This record gives sequence, C-alpha cells and structure tokens, in this order.
Amino acid sequence: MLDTSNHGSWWRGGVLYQIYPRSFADGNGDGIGDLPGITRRLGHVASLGVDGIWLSPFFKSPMKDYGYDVSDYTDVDPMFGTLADFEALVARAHELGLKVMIDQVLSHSSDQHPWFARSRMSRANDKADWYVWADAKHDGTPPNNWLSCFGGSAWQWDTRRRQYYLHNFLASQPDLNLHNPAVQDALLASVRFWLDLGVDGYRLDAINFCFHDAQLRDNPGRGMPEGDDPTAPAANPYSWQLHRYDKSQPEALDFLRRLRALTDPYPGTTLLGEIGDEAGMAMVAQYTDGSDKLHMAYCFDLLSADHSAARVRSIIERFERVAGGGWACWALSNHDCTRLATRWGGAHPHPGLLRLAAALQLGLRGSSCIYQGDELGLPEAEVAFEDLQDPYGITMWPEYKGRDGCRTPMPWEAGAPDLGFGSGTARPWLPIAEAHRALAVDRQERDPDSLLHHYRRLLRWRSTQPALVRGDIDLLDAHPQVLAFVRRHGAERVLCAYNLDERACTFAVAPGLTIARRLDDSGARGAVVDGSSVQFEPFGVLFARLA
Amino acid sequence: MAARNPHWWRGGVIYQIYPRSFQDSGGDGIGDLPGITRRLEHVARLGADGIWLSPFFKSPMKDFGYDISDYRDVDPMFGTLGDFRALVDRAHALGLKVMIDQVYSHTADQHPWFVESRSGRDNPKADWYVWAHPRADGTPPNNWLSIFGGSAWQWDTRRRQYYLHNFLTSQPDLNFHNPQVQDAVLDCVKFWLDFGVDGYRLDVVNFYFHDAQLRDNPARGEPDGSDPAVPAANPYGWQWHRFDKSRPENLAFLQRLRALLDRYPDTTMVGEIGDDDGLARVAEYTGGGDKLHMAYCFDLLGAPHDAPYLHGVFTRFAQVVGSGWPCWAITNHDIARVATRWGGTNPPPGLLRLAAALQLSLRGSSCIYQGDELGLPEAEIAFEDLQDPYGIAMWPEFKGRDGCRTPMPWDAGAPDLGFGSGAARPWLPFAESHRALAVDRQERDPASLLHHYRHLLSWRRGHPALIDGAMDLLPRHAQVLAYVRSSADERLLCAFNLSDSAATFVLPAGTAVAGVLADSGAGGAAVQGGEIRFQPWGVLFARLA
Repeated sequence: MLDTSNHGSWWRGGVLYQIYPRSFADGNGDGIGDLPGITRRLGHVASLGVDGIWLSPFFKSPMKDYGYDVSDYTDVDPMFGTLADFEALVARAHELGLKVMIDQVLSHSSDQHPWFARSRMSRANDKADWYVWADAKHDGTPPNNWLSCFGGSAWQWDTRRRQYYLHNFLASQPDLNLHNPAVQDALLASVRFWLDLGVDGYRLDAINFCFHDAQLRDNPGRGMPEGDDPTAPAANPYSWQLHRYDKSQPEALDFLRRLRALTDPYPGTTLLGEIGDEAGMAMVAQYTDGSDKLHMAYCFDLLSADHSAARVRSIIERFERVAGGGWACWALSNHDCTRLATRWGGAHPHPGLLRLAAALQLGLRGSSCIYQGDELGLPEAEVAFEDLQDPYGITMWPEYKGRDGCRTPMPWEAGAPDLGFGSGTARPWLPIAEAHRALAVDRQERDPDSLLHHYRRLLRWRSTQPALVRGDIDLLDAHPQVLAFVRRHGAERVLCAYNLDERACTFAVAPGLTIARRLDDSGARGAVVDGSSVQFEPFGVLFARLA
Repeated sequence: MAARNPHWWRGGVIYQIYPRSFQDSGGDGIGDLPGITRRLEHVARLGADGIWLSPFFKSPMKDFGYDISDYRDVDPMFGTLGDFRALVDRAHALGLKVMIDQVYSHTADQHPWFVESRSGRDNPKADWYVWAHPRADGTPPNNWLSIFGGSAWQWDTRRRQYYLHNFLTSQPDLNFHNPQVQDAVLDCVKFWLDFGVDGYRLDVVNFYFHDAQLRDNPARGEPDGSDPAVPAANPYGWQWHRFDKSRPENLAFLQRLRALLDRYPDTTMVGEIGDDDGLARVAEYTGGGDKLHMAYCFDLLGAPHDAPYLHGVFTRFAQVVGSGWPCWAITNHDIARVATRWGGTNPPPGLLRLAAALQLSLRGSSCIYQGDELGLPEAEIAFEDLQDPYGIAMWPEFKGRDGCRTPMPWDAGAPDLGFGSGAARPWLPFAESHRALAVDRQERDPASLLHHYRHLLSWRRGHPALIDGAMDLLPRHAQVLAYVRSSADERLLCAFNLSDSAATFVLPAGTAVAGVLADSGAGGAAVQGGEIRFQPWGVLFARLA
C-alpha cells in the first residue's frame, strides 16, 4: 500500500473495493447479506491489497431500488444491522488498514422519507418545495418530455397536490430540489453525521442528477441511437434524448463546493462521484478540477461492451484532453453493469482477457474501483425472469435484463451448498449462480495461478511503482490491436502495453523509446521483447521500465 | 317468466354478481362459481330477471378478471367449465337469465395473442394490438392517458415500440381496425352463445376502436369535478376523449356483433360506456335495433343526485335517446356504494328506499349490484389492505374500487358473515359495518330494505307502464323529481322528494291523480288537491286519471 507521506491523498491513485452489502456475506442467515457479514469477510479485502472499501447503501430504505431509495439518511436499515454493527465494521477496517467510503444518494430520497411524506401533503407546507413539483399541462400530461432512466415519463402524478413530481429513476424515488438551499443544508447535515462517525469518504450516487433546469425545458430529441449509450441501453427510450436540461446543470458546481468545504476539515476524507451523462468524461473533469469540488469521479465509458484498443485509447485520449486538474476513478465493473467477464469476454471469457483487464485498469492514470467478485473473474449470472428483483430489469426485459446478474451472492466456498454466503438453508435474495462455484475464493486461494492471486500480485507490485500510482500518462500511437501508453513520475517511465485481441501480433515500440527491463514482478505475461519490437500472444500484457 | 319472451331484457332487472365476493365454496377466501350457484335462490327470491356475472375467465387477475388470458375457460380460482354449466342450469331452473361479462377492448398481457404480438414486428399477430413508434425524443406517440394513471402507452423493449393500454400496462389494447381481431372476438362470443348463456355485459364497449391516425386528444383543463365518470384527481379528466375512444368505426362492429346474437333467440347485450357524453353514446349504440340492446353510462354513478341534477340528466337523455334503450345503474363494482355515495356516513333509510323506487320506475332496464338490496355502505379499507391497482395509484384522493367489493354479508352471526371463507382470510377484509345488515337479519325484519326491494320488484311486474312505457318529465323542482310513465293501459305518476326536508310539489294543470298506489310500498307522500306533500325522502306512485 501507499507510503505514509501520501496519507492525506491516499485516494489519489488509490484502489477501492466495492462491496454490495446484500450480496457479500450473510451474518444472520436470513438470505440477505449484512454488516456483520462484511466485517467477518474484510480479511479477504485486505489481503487483496486495496486501499479502501466503498459500501453500497445500507441505510434505512423500503428497498424498492435496493437501498438507493433512502428513507433515513442517518440510520442503518435493520436488514443490514445497527449503527453499532457499522461502527464495528469501521473499526475492523481501520485495523486492517482499509479506508471506509459510504454511498450517499443525495439526488433523490425514497417516497417513504418523512421529507417527501410531508412535501406531498399539500402545496403549502414547510417542505412543499423540497422536491420538484410542477403543474400538469392543460391536457393533463406531464410538464415536459423528460424520461425516467427506469422507463416511462420522469413525472409521477400525485392526487393530493394534483401536481406531478420529478423522478429520474423509480416513481418511488422522488427527486430532491437542490435549488432550495434548505434541502442542501439538510443533505449536508446528513453527510456531516457520518463524517463525525469516522467514515473516510463518500461515493456520491448519480451526483450529476442533483440539479434540474428550473425552467423545465424539454430535452432535445435525437432519435434512436446507433448503439448502446454508455448510460442507457438503446432499448431504453431514455437514450433517445440529449439530456441537456434534466441533469448536469451548472448549479451543481456550487453545491459540490459546499460539500467539499464540509469534508475538507476532516483529514484524509474523499469524495467520489458517479456521473451518468453522454458527456461523462468532460463532466468527470469538470467536477474534479480545481481541488474545491469532488476529489474524483467515474463515468460509464469503460462500463460498456466495446473494449477494442481503439475504443479504450479514444476514451483515455478524450479524458486527457479535457482533464486539466481533474482526477478520474476508473471502473470496469460495478453493481449497475453486466459483469466484466461476460461484458467483455462473452459466454466463454478468455482467461488472458481477464488478466489483461486487471492490468489495464490498474495501469491507467487515476484511481480504481474493483467490484466484488471481479477479482474472481465471475461471469454475469443468468437470472430467470421469475427470480428477477431489479425493477429496471423487470421493466426492460428481455432486451435488457437489469442488474441482478451482477448482484448474486459472493462465492466464498466451492464446497458449501450456499457457496459460503452464509444464508444456510434460507433462500438467498437472488439465487446462487452455479457458474460461480468453481471460481469461489477458497478454490482460487489454492491455485497460485488463479485470477485472485493475479490481482493480489498486481496490486502489491503497483504500490511499489509511483509512476503507476501518481504518474502522468502519455498515449503511444494507435495500433489496431495494442493499446500502449507510458506512465512517468520524475525520471521514472513505465511502458504499459496490452494486446486487446485474441490474435497474436507484433508491436513496434516508438522510436526514441528504449526498453530497459521488463517488470515481471507485476505478473504480466504474454509478451516477448525483441529489441524495439514486442511479440504479443493473445491478450498479452507488457509492463517495462524505459531507459 | 316461464313463457318465452324475446324482450325479457327490455325493462328487465339484472342483478350483478361480483364472483370474488359473493360466496366462497372452496374456503380459500375468494368467492367462486359453486358458491354463486348455492346462493342463486337469494337472487331469484328478490325477483330479478337475470344475473350479470363479472368475469370468471382465466386471468392473471391484475385487474381482478378484467384482464383475460383465455376467453374460453374458467379460471381455476373460480371453478371449472362444469361448475359454470351447473350454475347456468340452476339459474335457468330458477327462471333467471345468465349474462356474462366480456372484455374485448383489451386482453391480459399474458394472453397468447399478445405474447405472440410482442415477440417481433413481423409475426401473424404483430398488428393485433396497437403498436406505434416513439417520437424522436423517445416519448410516446401522442398525449393519450391511461384511466389508471400515466401515459396510455407502454414501451416494449423487444419491438422498440409503444403499445396502447387504456387501463393497466398489463391490459394491452386490441386493435379492432384489424378484421382478424374482430373475427377472433366474435368466435369467443359464439363459444359462449353455443354454451347457452343469455347475453353479455360488454366491458368498456366504446373503447374498442382508437383513431388510426393517433391524433392528440384536445385539452380541456382541470375539470370542475362534475364529471361523474372520472375522479377529478385523475389527469385523464383533463382531456376531451375525441380520439382515444368512441370512434365511429365501432358502430359497424357492433352491427356484426348483433347479427351474431340475433341468431340466438332471447339473447341480449348491455354495454358499459364511459364517455365525455355518455348519454348520447348510449343512444347511438342502442338505437336502430341493429347494435346493442341496451347500455349504461355513468351519469347516475356519481355523487350528484339532487332533483335538478337528475332532471337535467333525464331531459338530456330524452333529447338524444331516439330508439335507443338505456340500462340504469346507480351502483356497480366500479363505484362507491350508493348508500355512502348518495347518503354519506349515516345514510337516511328513506333515501335508500327512494333510490330503489326511483331506479325501478325509470324508463329502461336496471342493474342492481350485489349488496345494494341490503343498503350496504362503502367499506373502509386501510391502504395496506388495498387490492385495486387503480386505488393504489390514485390514493388517497381516490381510494379505488375495493370499498364496494368486500365479501357479501349473508349471516350476521357467523365470523365470516357466511361468506364461506371459514378461517381463511378473505381476499378483501369483511366490513364489520355490514354485519347488522346481513341477509339473514333483514329476512327476519319485514320493514327491511331487502323486503322493500322484493316488494317493489314484484309490484312492478304488474305495471306494464313501468316496464316498457313512455316517460314524460314533469317540470323541474328544487327538491322533487316527478315524471309520468304511460302505456296503453295506464298512466302512472312517479314522484320523489330527493331531499331531507319536507317538500310540496304542485301538479301541473291537467294532471289529476285518480288513486295513490299504496301497494307499491312507497310512502312519505300524500296528495292534497293539486299538490303532493312530501315528507323527507318521500315517494309517491299514483294512477293518473
């Protein structure tokens, strides 16, 4: 891990491990993961060599969107445990040298939140303006053309107020009106609550959705997109609009400054934003530039299916062009996306591809998020329609099957009927994926050549390479199969090169660059250096120090 | 009733049974066909001409049977085809006609037709439902709204198109512009005619066709709450429904339907019409003798029931009716029970007796909804117990239709009110407020509303003017509604004080009472010279000279 001189900015170039509490480990045998279960399994995370964890929401919630609909921002849902369980988790994590980041959902609350219960009572109460209310058009239809990410209009009728309210996700997730300073104050107070409790930072859900256009102007139409938009599948009409007015509004920047001013007095804390926008890269740069807003952010560009050398190169190039003082956090996978192994590798992912993906992610300039189970190379679980839990998937099925396939219980023990998840005889909330059994943690522990050991070796090696943790990045010229860039820190330069193809190939190192020595401690393999030429096996990876 | 009467329906009285809530014979908490069969005698003793059974067909029950996945079979929840055969036989033995409820505007999304239709844009049933492309911004093709809330268009990811649904998204709208759909529907109608049913209640019969050009409905703005067909809290009421329903193409289809029925003697159809101008639509759909036999709309199904309001409804109807024939309902499974809707939290007994006398003396046929012969109030249902998706969507300003669908109270002394659920929790909770009004309790009380209904129905049969006679309204009055029903043999004055205070109604010149018909059971009114003196809620039936 990083040296202590870097303590205050541990997050910069740091690696986070994302835990989805429902599915990590079940401490009480009810079929749903919980905080004590996580605490018990933290040793696994620490042994990987990451810097911290990001916990998906464990707050009080009716669970319509599995915790991303919060009804009490300052308490633990009984399903997951108690505040004391959380304190125990934090203590154990800190003991293991892990930072703890929690997931805050500030764009919207649950419709069960007392704020909304009050707001919807009438048009004149002290919280009447805490959510986004608008009159119907003269024909009774919603005030504009905004759509919900999860399907249908973004506006839900309320019979009491005889008005519509805005929801970018489920109708049970009303959008908070951050144009109202009192709403900002209330949210900041809940952020402070957890800072005082000792958390090390926040992952901020859908942070660019915090503000909407106060004039409620229509989004421009763009017709059916050619392919999948990174933020929504083409089968979702949401992707037929340019989201100029329903999100990513300039007022967000001032709110982010208030948020940063709140966290700065707490040493070593950090803010990581999730940005779903067609201009994700530029917004990552905008939201993280200048040291007065977010510390880092991720968007969905690497979370799509296309992973050709040209595609990945163009993403990096685009970001570096706009980055300025911004700082990215790269995620190849998370709880919202099809698992990496399947998304990039198809039905039978090439083992070399998964090793390459790890080396690529950890070679990029920026921080990284690793989603639980990706260190095992888990494929997306097939979940039958009858077993679906995710409302997004139920709505968009079958062209888009939702997010349950990446949320099945973590496989710890290949020999246990419940894969060691802890549910025992209780039926877990999503079915165990039998395809995960052979990839369970205990099985991979015993195989030094496993992907799990590859991740550990890579993370350990990377922490010794300041060029990879903090260095600049220079892209090398485009190649049909090979993505290559140089990371440099002071006088130290590391060449990172990846054959993103199932065919062997030859790569000519650019004139002027001389390979001094291969960095085989990284565990990278599948590349033979011959002077200024590199022979790549399928999905070969090379890390090398340049002269 | 034994003699054949092809016009039995004309001026007939139909008792509506909601199968889930009438009588449970299986003890599973949900009423069923054998339960109905066992209780048919109650209906026969009431003196109705027939029954209308709400849907008992195969259904995922998202809208409690108004979402059908197989038009030709009984849902196992309700029994079997054999059970239905036994029900029809028993009804016929008791002299009751059997009308079944057919839902042709839409199917369940589980119907094999829709499963096939949504599987792609080119399959044999691709055009059996109403599919349309989005606008360029991904939004639905027009401004049509679902009655149950939200847009009337639901996105389908496979076809990357929207489909139309006027009710739940799980109730896709059949495309009647396609002749194959018409043929398939008529085949289903014929199936039950061959089985031996006596007629149909046709659910939302004016929703069969939509505008093929999908034009936007005109806006009408926030309604003032006077449209009884739609709760004012529902944005559906903010449009004039010019294009999403009541299209002219429907008339030709209704003629095809009638031609089929006419091959089966003594059968009939009653259509349900929810429209901006329901009375005109009733007239249009039932005029000419070549479409529906009868239809009902929602003008008597709202809260207003004062004399001027009713006078306006009947005046308007007389202007448009032509050769049409209405069926009047003052309550049904879609509407708050009349005792509460008209009478409030403590309905005056006189109002309920008046309502019965009024309904049964109007020109037209009548539907009586189960439990209204008992004067049941609307049941209070907690939000947690709600079943109706319409109520769940529109709560709390509109609490849906569960309050009129609770189990029928047969036996005041039984914990389950004799519904038959035994220890099982019924699908909707019993209303304790119904216990004292149970059938067995009213049986024993000759002054009960139940006996009033029986008496009225039996008395009415002796007066052809009430069954099929003309109806002429007397002048409008602030409290009193009065009209004359006349046939070749008799002219009957029917007069009702629709207020809770005494009233005096001056008979127009030339209207002379020959004798009060005290044997009707009506009371609370006396003739004095050229005036009628009413007590609160008083009713007068009298023979005119």
